[in-house]
Amino acid sequence: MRALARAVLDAAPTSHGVADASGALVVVPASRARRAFERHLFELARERGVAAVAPQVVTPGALLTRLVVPGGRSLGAVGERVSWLAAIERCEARDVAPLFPEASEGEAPDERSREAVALRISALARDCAAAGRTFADVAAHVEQTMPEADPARWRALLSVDRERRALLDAAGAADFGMAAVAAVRGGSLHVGGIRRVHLFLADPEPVQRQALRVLAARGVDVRSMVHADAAALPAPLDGDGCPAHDGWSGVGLDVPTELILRADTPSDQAAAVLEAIARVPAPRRTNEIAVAVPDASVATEVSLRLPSWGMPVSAPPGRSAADGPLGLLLAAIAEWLSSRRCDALGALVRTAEVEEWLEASGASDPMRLVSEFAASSGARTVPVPGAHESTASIDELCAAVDGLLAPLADARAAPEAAAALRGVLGTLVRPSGQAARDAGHAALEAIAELEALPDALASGPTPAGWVRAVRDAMAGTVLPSAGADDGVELMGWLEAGIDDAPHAVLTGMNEGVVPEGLTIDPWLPDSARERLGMQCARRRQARDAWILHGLLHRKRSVRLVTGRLSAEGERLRPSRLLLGQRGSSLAERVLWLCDEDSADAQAARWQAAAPANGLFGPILVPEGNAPIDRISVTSFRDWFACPALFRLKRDPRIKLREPDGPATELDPMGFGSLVHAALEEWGRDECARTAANEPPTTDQERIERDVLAAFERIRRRRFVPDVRGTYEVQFALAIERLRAFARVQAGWAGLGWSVLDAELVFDTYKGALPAPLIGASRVRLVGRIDRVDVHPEYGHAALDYKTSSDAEGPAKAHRQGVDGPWKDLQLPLYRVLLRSRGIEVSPDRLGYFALPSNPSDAQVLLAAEWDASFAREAEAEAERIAALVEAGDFSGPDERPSWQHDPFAAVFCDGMRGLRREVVP
Amino acid sequence: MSDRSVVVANAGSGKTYLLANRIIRWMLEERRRNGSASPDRILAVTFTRKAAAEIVERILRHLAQGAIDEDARRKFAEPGQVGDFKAAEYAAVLEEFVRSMHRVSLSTIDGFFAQLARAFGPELGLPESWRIGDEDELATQKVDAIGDVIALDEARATELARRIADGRPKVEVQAGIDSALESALVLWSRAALAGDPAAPWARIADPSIELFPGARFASDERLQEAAKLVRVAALPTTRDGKPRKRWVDARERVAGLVVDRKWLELLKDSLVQRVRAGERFDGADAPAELARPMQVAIGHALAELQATLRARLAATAEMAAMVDARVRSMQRADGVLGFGDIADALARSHAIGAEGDGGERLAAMRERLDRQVRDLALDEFQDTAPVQWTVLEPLVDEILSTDRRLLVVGDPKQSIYGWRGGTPALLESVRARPGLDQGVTLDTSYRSSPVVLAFVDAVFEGLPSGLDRMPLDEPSDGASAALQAAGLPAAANADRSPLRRALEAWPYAAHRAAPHKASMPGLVQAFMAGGPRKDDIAERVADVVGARSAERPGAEIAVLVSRNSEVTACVSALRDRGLDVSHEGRSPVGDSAAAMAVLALLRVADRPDDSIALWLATREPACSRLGLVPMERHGGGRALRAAARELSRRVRREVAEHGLGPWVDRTAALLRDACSRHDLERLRQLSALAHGAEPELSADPGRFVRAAAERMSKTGEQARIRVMTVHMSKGLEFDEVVFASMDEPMGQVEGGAGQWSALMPDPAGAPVAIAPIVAKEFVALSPLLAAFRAEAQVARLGDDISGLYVALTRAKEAVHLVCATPPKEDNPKLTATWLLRAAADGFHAAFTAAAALPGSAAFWTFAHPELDLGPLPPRPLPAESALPAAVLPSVERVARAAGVRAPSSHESADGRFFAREFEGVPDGERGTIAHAWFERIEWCDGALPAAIDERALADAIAIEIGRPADAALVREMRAMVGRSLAGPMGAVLRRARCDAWGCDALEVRAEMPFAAVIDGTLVRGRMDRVVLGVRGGRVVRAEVVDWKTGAGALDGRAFEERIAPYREQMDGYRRALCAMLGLPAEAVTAVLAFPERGELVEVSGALRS
Ligand code: SF4
Repeated sequence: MRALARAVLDAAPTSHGVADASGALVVVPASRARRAFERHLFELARERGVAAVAPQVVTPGALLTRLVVPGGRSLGAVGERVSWLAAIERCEARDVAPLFPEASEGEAPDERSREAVALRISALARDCAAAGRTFADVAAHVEQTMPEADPARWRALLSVDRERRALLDAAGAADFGMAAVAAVRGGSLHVGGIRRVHLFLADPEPVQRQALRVLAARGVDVRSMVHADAAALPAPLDGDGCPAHDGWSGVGLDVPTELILRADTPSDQAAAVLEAIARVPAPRRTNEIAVAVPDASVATEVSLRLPSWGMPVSAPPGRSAADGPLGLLLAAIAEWLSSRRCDALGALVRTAEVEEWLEASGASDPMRLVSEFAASSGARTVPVPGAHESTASIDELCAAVDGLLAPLADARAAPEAAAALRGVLGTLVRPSGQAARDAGHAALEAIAELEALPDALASGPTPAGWVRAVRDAMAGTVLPSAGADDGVELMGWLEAGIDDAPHAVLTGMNEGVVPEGLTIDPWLPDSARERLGMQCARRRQARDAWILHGLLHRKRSVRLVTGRLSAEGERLRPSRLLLGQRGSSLAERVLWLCDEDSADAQAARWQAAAPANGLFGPILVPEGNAPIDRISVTSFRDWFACPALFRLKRDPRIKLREPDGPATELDPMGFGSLVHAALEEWGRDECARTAANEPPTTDQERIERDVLAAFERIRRRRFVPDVRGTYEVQFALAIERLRAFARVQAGWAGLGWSVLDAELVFDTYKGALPAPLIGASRVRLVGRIDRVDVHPEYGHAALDYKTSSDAEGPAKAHRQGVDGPWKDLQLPLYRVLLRSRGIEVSPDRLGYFALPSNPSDAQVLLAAEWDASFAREAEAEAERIAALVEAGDFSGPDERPSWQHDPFAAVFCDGMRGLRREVVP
Repeated sequence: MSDRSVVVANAGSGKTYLLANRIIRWMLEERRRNGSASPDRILAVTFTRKAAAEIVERILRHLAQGAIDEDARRKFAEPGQVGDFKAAEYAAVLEEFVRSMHRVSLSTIDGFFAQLARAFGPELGLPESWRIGDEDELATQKVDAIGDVIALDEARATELARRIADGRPKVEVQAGIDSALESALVLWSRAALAGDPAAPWARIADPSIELFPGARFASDERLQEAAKLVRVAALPTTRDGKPRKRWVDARERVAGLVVDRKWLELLKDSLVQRVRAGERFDGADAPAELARPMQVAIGHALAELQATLRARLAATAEMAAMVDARVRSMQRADGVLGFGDIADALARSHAIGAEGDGGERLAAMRERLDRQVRDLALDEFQDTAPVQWTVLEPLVDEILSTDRRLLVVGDPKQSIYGWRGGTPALLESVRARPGLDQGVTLDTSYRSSPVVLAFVDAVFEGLPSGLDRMPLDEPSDGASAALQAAGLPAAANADRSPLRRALEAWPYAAHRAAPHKASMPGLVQAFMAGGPRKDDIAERVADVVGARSAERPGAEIAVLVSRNSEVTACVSALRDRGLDVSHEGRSPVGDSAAAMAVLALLRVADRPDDSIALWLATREPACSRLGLVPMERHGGGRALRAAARELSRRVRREVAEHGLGPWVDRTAALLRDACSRHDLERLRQLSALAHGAEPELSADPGRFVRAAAERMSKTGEQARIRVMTVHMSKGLEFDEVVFASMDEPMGQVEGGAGQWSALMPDPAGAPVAIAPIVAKEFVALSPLLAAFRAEAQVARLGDDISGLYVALTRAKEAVHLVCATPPKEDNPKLTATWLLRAAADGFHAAFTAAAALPGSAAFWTFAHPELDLGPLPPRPLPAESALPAAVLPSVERVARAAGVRAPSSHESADGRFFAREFEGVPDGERGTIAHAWFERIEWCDGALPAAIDERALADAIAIEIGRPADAALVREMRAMVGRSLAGPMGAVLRRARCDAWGCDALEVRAEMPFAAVIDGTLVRGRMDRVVLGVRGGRVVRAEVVDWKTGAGALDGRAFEERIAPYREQMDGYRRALCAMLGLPAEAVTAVLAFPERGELVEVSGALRS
């Protein structure tokens, strides 16, 4: 860069101490290079005691915009996309069918596929234009030289291209790439005040080369800067003064072995960076060392490991603005606008911006509301607020979101969409920090372009389509990444090629990384691209060889690190660039690189090996008192499975529970509660009859009618009308079980049993029946009893509805074998609850009303074998447990059950051994 | 050897060596023939990326050795390898190979297929942007497809769901169908390749085929009657004439089952089974008056079962058809596929050709892949699935029809991927092709000691005769008869036991030790664990490994097991002994508590109400390191929920801000000091997953967590003691192997809904018939279904026995077997232990003795009469393994120069960023035009100069604003500029204005670009007009003028507000000029010129900072 600055300054006419370079146009590869150049220029001028009037400095992308006078409105990213989209739409469906192989016959491709194709075409168009060619040129080439290569697609492309030209003409707009090709071909460039061009590029695109030749023909002095004397170069320069592809793609650089460091894994490559830094002669300054990390896994290793070894690094450039917070917000907005799907609402509400805005507008815990709705309503899409009982929980929230987005949702034309989008973002987004502002500017630029779209292009996409257009247009902006700015700088390969630091460490010198791997382009195979002068593997190789040559030539020191294993443990191939020798020295180099038994850098040298056992223990078994003052009859089952987990689920400060996932169907719990609810409603009516001294209903048909009517009411209350199909099937299964219930219930009632109570709730809260203490403890027994029946002869019975798949009897469910370990205490404890209300139930009148998946297995299963002593034992067990709970003793048996496939597995890090106890205060 | 050959390669026989050499030969020959080796015309496919990379490395190395090492060349010249070539030839090919390394196609079969699919997207109906989906996505896709199918016709779906589940539909309908269809869909795809996918399903559902002999429906009355008769039937009596108790109970039970219509239970009943088989029950025959009514009920029960199974078959086929179609159309629509789907799509569309298409497709392949395949090498062929073969076959046929080269390498004995579709029998069908050199077997092991090899031979060669002594498997008598009766083809050996059939499927070739290993000592011994459980075995493994590594610290020891859960158990046991082991099982990244903490935090971000995740995230040691508060500290309730929401939002913000990958890295860095090696490894994997995740997942951490938590991955850490599954060990070798899965059942097939067995007479072809696998109890009821069950067992056993072979042949020097203690009832069953008891000399006796008298010493050592090679020599640690610690190079931390600033951009980072930024935008164009006019005036005498080239001016404006300017507007601005020149604008442009400077000369620069470094920051921009005053050959005075249009209509106050930032901008310009010209602030002034207002604002004096 300094040399470039010197050349520019030398060429600038100087008068009165002012060196005027304003007639020069300097072309540098990237803005990073531009900055370096300008600094050097300024400093050099000061050293010479002159003031430098800066030249115009451009990156290659902007070169032609300086030279080509637009004949119409030039389109930006948004305009390009929209114009291709519109062109596709204007074509006959059958003409463009080959572009949409996924669409079935007669079916129009959806907006997303059209967008994908439009983006693809517009990228291709840019590639063609860069090569100084039109689609027609390329299509003709393909047709002539590649008969097997799917000409239908190119024909489709040509019709789209034709439509687009017409469209642009009508709109008074121009495709800049095409305009540039035409201007260059016609030699009609705007030279302005340019008198000199300094070119500092390894490989200008053909159209740029052509443009520069036009300038030269018009008397402009075009000079190309190279890093060494032509004589010292291993391969020739071409007519434009740039490395010739032919020569440079085959160049074999003889990289001295002592500059190469062999490392096995990516972390060893990180170690190699340190080794390399250690070889930089002291004094070493972080700002004088640049590290290229073209391989992502190496980049991660380097940025994680070096600081931990004491070497500060600054992160490589961050991500595209489209993937930053603002871009993601736009994506969420677009998704919701286009689908109104539950998960889209979830995604929108999950963005911190929308969540915060909703909370500020009074919604409490919007994320939970939405996920609960998604989990329980059976809805795929969110109905319009207020349309149905089932949406009551999210109506308010949904209305707020709809209100916020209304102007956007209603926007048809681009300017409306732009204004609306600005409004929405203005409400939601408060950018802070450089990255956020950069992203904001990128968005604003795209929105401005949207606003100014010519009328002919300003309609077509849906509101969501406009939003996506804005987001995609942001993709070109790279957000700065956070990190120390006084560390060794990490960068990509191309940046390293133009960076100014005197010392360079180049990691990832492996095939597929440097040079990049081949990609399959279904439109234009690499060989065709090569023939057409487009970007291709050979050009990339020539460029990379040139860059490496430049680095070796310019830098005070260079080290190249080649890895031998990927992060996944696969072998890597060394980069071709390290294999530039010939004959036996090549063979020696190959063997040297492949020599498994020697490596030049090992992570292990820089750190004590991490211990085999760290501080992360596999199992956290909580100890200590838990403020548990009530135990429900059903939770003893948990205790028996695992006291520690019982504690975690019951401790009111912790209350572990499995959250409901986004439901595509009801889970067994949900299904059970649905059936229960219908039975409860039916039961209450039946209670009323009993209370009125009427005989129990024994008419199966009537029971069925009533219970199904109850089910219908519940269904309407809980589920959206256009519920997912699976729910419908589950409803059918529920109805089937309710029918079976009606049959069994009719028979049961026929035996003389009446329903005395339905859904008795014993608990400590208001409205519930008082919960009794368990034995001598201060822990209360809580729970609900589905049904208490009464019989003139046999007295009371307590029943629990069971909707699990199999009809297992109570005895089996409560205990292993006759007097084996307990599994559950639910039914025996019903007696304790009922006793507190003065109802005495004989142990053999406890049971399940089983409604299993096979309806013909539905039945009332009483625990015929239970007697008083069994009941006593069960109560004693409950008292023992209550005492343990009170004492804070949750240590279980040594043998640990396996929690695999259980959401709680993670709590115990199942699959690891060893035990650690943790005291929960 | 010819150059079109199939090679069967025993374990350790130098398969990769051969493959590499063969490819080298092809290149060398080609170079001799055509002057170029054209390495890019060779396609070699294998199954793992690791294997593919190894082949490349071998090629590179051999070429290099050939170029400089005469000994190596001589070795390569051995028959079957490279051949006789000169050093210079090797060197030339090496050069060519290196230059075109990027075009060389030595890849995985998945990778190759993905390339094909890229090239043939349109033919496959794939959208422009298709991609490979992650497991989570693909699973969701399938479940969604099922949901869609259900929604099409809910009543029908209900019915099908019921039938698929034999009348007991799961509550979770979608999930139920999903698991029931899992293997059915695979079979469906496979059948689809051959044409009618429904046909094999219909085959035995045909009513004319009797699944259960004796099945006969009875009317309700007859059944009631039968139950009654059973109840009153006379029973065998005790000596004192009372009916026997067991008979009474059984009779009651049977009658009850008939009344309750519990047909399955009835058929499982012990009395029923005896009566049906004509056997005695409780020592007595059933009296005829009991047996007869029972037969009625049994016949009915069989008929019911038969109807149920037929319904299951038909319903599964119907559902599979719909789901398959739906999945495919979703894949097309979303463009998300798995590797399997790609192979399937390629096969179904005959992407690279089918018989009789005249090779057009292959030609298209050349075009689109940009590559001509001249020679083809197929590695690990035994793992190839029929669908993959369907894709490759045209290419192979084309090669065989010309003079190109082909190499197929495989070993049926190492086929452990049957569950994934790998079909070793394909090797046979390829071998049978005309034009192929056949039957080459590589049997020399370059890996193992002759002792180990002799042991392996003893086991596998001894098995067939061993089975005569030890009944390990029942023959499938009547299988072929049953199949033939149903009109189905039966394998020639269908009546033999599945184990024998599995063994017959791999012709065993004895191993020979390589000459240089002929005298290498070896050791094979067996140990018995202290108990029967997984942990007992793990303890013994730890004993053995502990002892071995103490004795031979430098030896690489692998503990091989069949399942991941065993890996975990062994690793823990070994680490408990303080041994340094690497855990190389494929297990979820969440098997590290550290990784779990990171995932939990992301889960909280997604679901603040996930208390499990919150609990995990707020445990020590993660909690304090991440600056979190233990969840219980909040006391529960509202406060806890608020805290969870807060944390959730914080993480979401951070993730969105930095991206998933960097966020994981930052978080991992905080945990690092608390981590074990394993934790670190997992965190690194998590980081890699996060970096590789779609950017969209930054907004959907929940999805990332699901994908990451399910992702099974192995760790790359490698110690001298390694624990892994046999699957993972494929392709590796170790000094010593401890095999710890001796007692895992082999050849297990499960019955029940969703389990299918397919009859595939042509292994490369489609199934001809599919039948449900029935539970063991029902096997006796149906010879036909028994025959199908046996088919499934044969396949399973093939994998399992291969697994044993692979495990034993990984060892170079020693094999240690660890057996569980046998149960009390030590009956023969299919396990490795029992296979050894049958096959290996003296093992059975030693085992039985050891079971009676357990101990920790080896209970059996393999002895071979001719092989007394002495004890294994000790193996010390290599010297280089102790690394000297390095010292950090000293560096001085110097901040890099700050970024760039332009004085004209003022930040508006507060509140209403988006709304405010755009005020005044429409004015841009007017301003540009006005500037262009002013730019062209050097000095003004009160009017617009005449000599302005208006064409060039228009061009310049167009370039600036990106379109031709509106001509009317240009005229309007021209007029405005002209008018303004009469007033103060003219004054500022008048030469006389600068007279006061007392300069010798004045220079004007219009639109002057500048770049200056001020306080380390690069400031750049353009100044509208700069006038430089020169005195004595130096610039001593400067003035910058900035044209500001668009403020015409503002009132005084608004105007003042507007110009405040402009003043700052002007100071920025002045500062830059001072820096560039080395002038003091007083010498540089600035003027803001407002032409529409006719107003000038001068900015001078001290510079504001
Ligand atoms: S030992 Fe395991 S199973 Fe038992 S209480 Fe503790 S954590 Fe639960």
